[in-house]
Amino acid sequence: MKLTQLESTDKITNLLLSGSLDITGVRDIEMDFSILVSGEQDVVIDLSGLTFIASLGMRMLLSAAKKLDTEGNKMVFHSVPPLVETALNTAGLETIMPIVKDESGALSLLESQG
Amino acid sequence: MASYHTFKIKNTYTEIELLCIKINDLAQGNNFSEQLVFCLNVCLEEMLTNIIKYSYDDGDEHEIEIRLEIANEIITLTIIDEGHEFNPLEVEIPDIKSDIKHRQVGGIGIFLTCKMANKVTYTRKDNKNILKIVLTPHVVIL
Repeated sequence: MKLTQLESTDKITNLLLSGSLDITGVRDIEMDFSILVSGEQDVVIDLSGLTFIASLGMRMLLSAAKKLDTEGNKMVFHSVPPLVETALNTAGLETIMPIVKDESGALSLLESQG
Repeated sequence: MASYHTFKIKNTYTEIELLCIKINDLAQGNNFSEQLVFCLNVCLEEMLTNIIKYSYDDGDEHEIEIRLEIANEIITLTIIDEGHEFNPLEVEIPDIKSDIKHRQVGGIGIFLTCKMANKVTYTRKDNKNILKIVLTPHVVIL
């Protein structure tokens, strides 16, 4: 499991998650993830390389999104593989962590919501 | 032609990881679809994590048995543990429609398993929890 910080701005933290967000994957990155998602900026995550996610991984993402929400910020996913998207939708997470097609879609969404 | 596979693991998270590797090799050898492998992994990870977390009242080592029956492209996964009686199907399902402030962080694993499997049944027999999960190649996730 790999967590990469992409070029970010003062307002947006851009991240890339790749690999399998299973028990091992969560253990590998949760500490770094929680440091990078401090709450002070919106977070855009490219999930194009994510091959698997179950409830432990969703828990990590949801906890971070809740932390962002308390600061008035959002977490948006883009480039989500179909099976991962189905799993996120099944858990009802797309209503609180929006899923958009690509990075520009994520930026437009954040811009439109101020 | 049905094939039967039995695995035994100890109650640690590392053992779940090792089991998933073996089962994924088996899945590859049987040409399971990507979706079926995904759902099978969700079921394994969710149910075994639950057993390790909630089934035992002591800190001792315990054995969990995992049986996999593959017949006519239908997978029947049976998980047997000797922990205290625990029926995951009776666990309250979190409200997946609540807003971010009220959304519960945990408790979604059993819900996901039930959505991804065609059938999940629980029985308690000879002081053992027996969880049976049936998956088919064309799993319909609602």
